[in-house]
Amino acid sequence: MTTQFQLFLEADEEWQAIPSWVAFLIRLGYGWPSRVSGRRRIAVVSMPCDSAGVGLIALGALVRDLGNPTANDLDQHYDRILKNGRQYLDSCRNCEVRCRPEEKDCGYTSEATGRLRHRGRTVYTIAAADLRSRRFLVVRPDLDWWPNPSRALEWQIDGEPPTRAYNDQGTLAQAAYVGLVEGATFFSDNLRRSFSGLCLASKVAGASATLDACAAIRFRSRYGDQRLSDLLTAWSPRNSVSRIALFNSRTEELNRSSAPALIVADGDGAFLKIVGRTRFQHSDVIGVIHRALERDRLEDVGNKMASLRQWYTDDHELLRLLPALPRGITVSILQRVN
Amino acid sequence: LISVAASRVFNFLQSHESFAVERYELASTAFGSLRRSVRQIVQRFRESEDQEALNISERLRALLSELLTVPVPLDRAIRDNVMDVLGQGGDVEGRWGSDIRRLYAAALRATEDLQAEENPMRQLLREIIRGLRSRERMFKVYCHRRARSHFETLLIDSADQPLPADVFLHSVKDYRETEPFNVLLKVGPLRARGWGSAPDALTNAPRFDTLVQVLWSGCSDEPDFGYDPTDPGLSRTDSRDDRANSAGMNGNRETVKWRVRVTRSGEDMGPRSGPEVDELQLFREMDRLQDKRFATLLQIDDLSGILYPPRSRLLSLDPDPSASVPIDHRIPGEALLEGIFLIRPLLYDASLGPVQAEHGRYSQVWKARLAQAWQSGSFGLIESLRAAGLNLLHLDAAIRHWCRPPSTVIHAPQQARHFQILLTVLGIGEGESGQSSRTTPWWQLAWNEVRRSRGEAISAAFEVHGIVEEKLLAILNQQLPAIRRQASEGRDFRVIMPAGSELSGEVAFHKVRDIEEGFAAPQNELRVVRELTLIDQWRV
Repeated sequence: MTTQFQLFLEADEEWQAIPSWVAFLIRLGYGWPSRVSGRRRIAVVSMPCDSAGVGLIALGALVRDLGNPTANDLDQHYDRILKNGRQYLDSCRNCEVRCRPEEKDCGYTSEATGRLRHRGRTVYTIAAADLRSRRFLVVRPDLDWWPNPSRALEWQIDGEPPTRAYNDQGTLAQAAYVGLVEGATFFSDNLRRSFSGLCLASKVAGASATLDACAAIRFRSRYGDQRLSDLLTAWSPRNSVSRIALFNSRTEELNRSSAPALIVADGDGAFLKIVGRTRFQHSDVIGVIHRALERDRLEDVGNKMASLRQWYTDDHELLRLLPALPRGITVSILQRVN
Repeated sequence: LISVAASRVFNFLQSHESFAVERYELASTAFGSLRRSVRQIVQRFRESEDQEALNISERLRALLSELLTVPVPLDRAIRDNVMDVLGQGGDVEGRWGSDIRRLYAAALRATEDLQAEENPMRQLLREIIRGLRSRERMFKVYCHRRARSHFETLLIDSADQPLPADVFLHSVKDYRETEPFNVLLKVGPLRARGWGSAPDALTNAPRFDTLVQVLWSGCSDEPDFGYDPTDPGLSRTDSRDDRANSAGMNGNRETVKWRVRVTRSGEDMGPRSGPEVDELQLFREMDRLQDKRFATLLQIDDLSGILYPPRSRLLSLDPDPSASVPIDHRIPGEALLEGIFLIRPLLYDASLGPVQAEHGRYSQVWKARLAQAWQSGSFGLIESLRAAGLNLLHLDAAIRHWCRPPSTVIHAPQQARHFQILLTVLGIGEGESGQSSRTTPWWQLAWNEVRRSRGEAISAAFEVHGIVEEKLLAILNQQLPAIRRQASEGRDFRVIMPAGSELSGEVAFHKVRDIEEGFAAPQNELRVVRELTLIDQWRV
């Protein structure tokens, strides 16, 4: 599984070939089935110690998506902006609660701020909409925005990454990902496009806890040294392409407006939060936990998996496709019965 | 931050085809007799509806559980402890009957016999530690924080180096932050909760190649110890290759395999009517029949702690200056860790009278009177209290305890009825200094003060008025810079609600010393400050 193109460094250790546990986790994410339709899967990856395992699985899935021509936000971009604008005008603009949609039971899953950023720079607030067709928004009293999809790409929902990079500075470097997975292919256009179909859910202690763990892992390739946290693009600068959404399990905020297809959750607390949220009821979930925990917390995860078995069954087929599990890692994968 | 590089752990696991358990089982006639006698008293009192009997049952149970899981010296203190719980022999027969008297006598005889020799468990542990040192094996001891001194006193010979602090592991967090080593020393059976508990990771994610386990015969590891949520059925130390391979779910896993070697020493020649009984398992079963709730302990000073239902979201302060949300609701063991301050509101509650600025205002009066009465005639005081209905056995120890000055809590009787009797006998009543209400009796005001110190008042208020907590949060956030300054000193502190705010009273900030799971306590014992010695009885 190791490759001559990539070396691995963890914290203060020595550079080494990618170890088997790292290769396994990357491969697990890479081999996770892309799900356009089909039955939902929920998995728990149980580790013998705390680690940046969640980032490694997410990295594998990110490499997988880089090779998928449909793994981008272009197709839905225009509708997402319209939908976001309508929600703001119809509800959030006049809402007295900031912002707990599930408590208010307003039907939305998160707040729409009504703020749009133009070419990564100036922010405008949506002022009105065409009430008849609802096919355009007014982002300033003097600036109409017409339903022109090509022009829509100049706009992004404030707080979200650009759907397509405005310039070369915000794009990804393919060379940084080559060699992480043998045989991986890349669709070069994706290096310039963001994607919201993959999500990393941070530890319940907060996004910075997961960021710190991922920043302690580095890969060396011909492209140079890269931190895992940078490769993941979940914490990318504002106008850069981001291929992973970030769910902060402490604040329970997702930094995208659409629900992802796959969520990789860091820790038992994040896993339980994600699995229990209606917003993510159609998303695949991989929870990465470690076993150096109190029994109550381990049982919470075990009990959740046991309760899911009412509607899910063990996915032996996907388990068989995985490489041999390194000693100390155990995996359970469930798939919805129908 | 992750304290041990995952690669180190994986390399360690990969370099061991299997791991070893060296299990030493000890037996002794005298110890067996003590176990059987105390166990039978516990069982019989447990079936009683008498609160006094139930209290004795709980205390004896704690005493026996400690003997089974901690290498305590089997000296005169054991006899004193048993007597401390049950009192003098004559009283016992008169109060509880001849059966209990007979069991009690057998227990006391056993404690006398045990004093003839050193606890064999301590002898064996000393030999094991010396052996490990001579072979230069890197070892650790997993034990409860308060059991530590019993390990440290094993090596009193001048030829022995004392055990350094970093040898001890007391929590799952300690274990998580430990680099791989050679040998783990553990006294008692492998249990996930309660007396002698240890992390499941000991067997499903070992960071040592050999587990040396020393325990009394008849004590069994919990069948599901080593629990792994991906496969709860495949986690035992006695797992064999065939069992691992039969697990269809993870057929391609490389299971952690254990080889167990058992060495038995000593013999229990005492009379027995059936097979050996595992008291720890028995007590756990007894708990299941009681109306108790599982709980997590937050230790807030050397003597006190608070039990909370598992996964409670507790208002707390993170003293780290870089914390973006310092005051927040956190779950113990998850985001609420040792070093974080637990926030305990002591707010005005109309039904309890106003909070006093000075902690223990009423207690100063009655404690002084109690100490005076005790010094002038302890026997007479005990007789008077018994005659008035405060009929606790071994009342003398209780009175000495109540005389102690207030700490986090005000030491006092557990029941209001007993407290009222105490103050009546002491002659404290109307017109006493500190009287602040014409309608509420003095003893009631003093009792409210005791309750408030335990947190009983505010917990009730919060349940009814959840909105109060939101207001409190807003007020605390306004005072955040001052609160952070106080927290930076690393000691417990209190913040008085500012004048003119919607809330009256004060808020205590307790630095969390330790977090421990494995308790089952009555509902009314949750969320209140209790002394650790009392809380011990609710270990499962």
